[in-house]
Amino acid sequence: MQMAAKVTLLDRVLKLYGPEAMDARRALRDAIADGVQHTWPADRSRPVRLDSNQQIGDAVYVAISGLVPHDETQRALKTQAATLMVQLAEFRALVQAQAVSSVSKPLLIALVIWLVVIFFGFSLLAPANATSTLALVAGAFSVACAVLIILELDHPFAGMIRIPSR
Amino acid sequence: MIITVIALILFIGLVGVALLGGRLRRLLPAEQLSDESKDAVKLALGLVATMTAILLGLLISSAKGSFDTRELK
Repeated sequence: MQMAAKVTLLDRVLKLYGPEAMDARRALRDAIADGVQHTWPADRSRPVRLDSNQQIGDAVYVAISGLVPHDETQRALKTQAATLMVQLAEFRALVQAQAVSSVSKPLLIALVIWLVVIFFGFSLLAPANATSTLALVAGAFSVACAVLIILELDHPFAGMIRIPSR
Repeated sequence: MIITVIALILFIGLVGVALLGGRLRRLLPAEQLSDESKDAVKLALGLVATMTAILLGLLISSAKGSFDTRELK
């Protein structure tokens, strides 16, 4: 969300700069399209790569640095654009660094072991008829759904629950 | 994809454990299943169930929190 806002602002700054910045705007558009395509591929089963468009991002930065400002306004706009570009690169690196799992594995393993103990104990107490078996199966289903939600939320760029691309 | 498989394995494993407990119950001698021993089992299981509920809530809230943080970026 913050990245999208910064991209919009950068595009506006470059537009204000004038026709000399057309190349930088085109490079920016290419970089964004490439990034969106890699982070949210049309084919959902393909793995997501977050680290693909470094060269294209560098091209935008080079295009911005190559601008020769003619007056005071253009100089200020160029500084703004360069700052925004560096901030964008920072955000991207942060997102990549945070892509690793944040749910601790030992806690999850402890949870699963406790669940096994609970269901074993409950089934020892329950009479062997269809109603109690169905109740236990329903409990197992809801607990499995809870674990599924935990793991899905933990991997925001894969699976069924994803961060939308807008 | 692998996440769904993990959850499915957990579901099948829990159902299997429940069925195993049902089998094992028939093997137990009748005097082991008195009301007092049932009460003891219920007490111990209640403790484990409370801990599991707390841990489940903790994990869900932490996973949701990290998801929201990444969405803001």
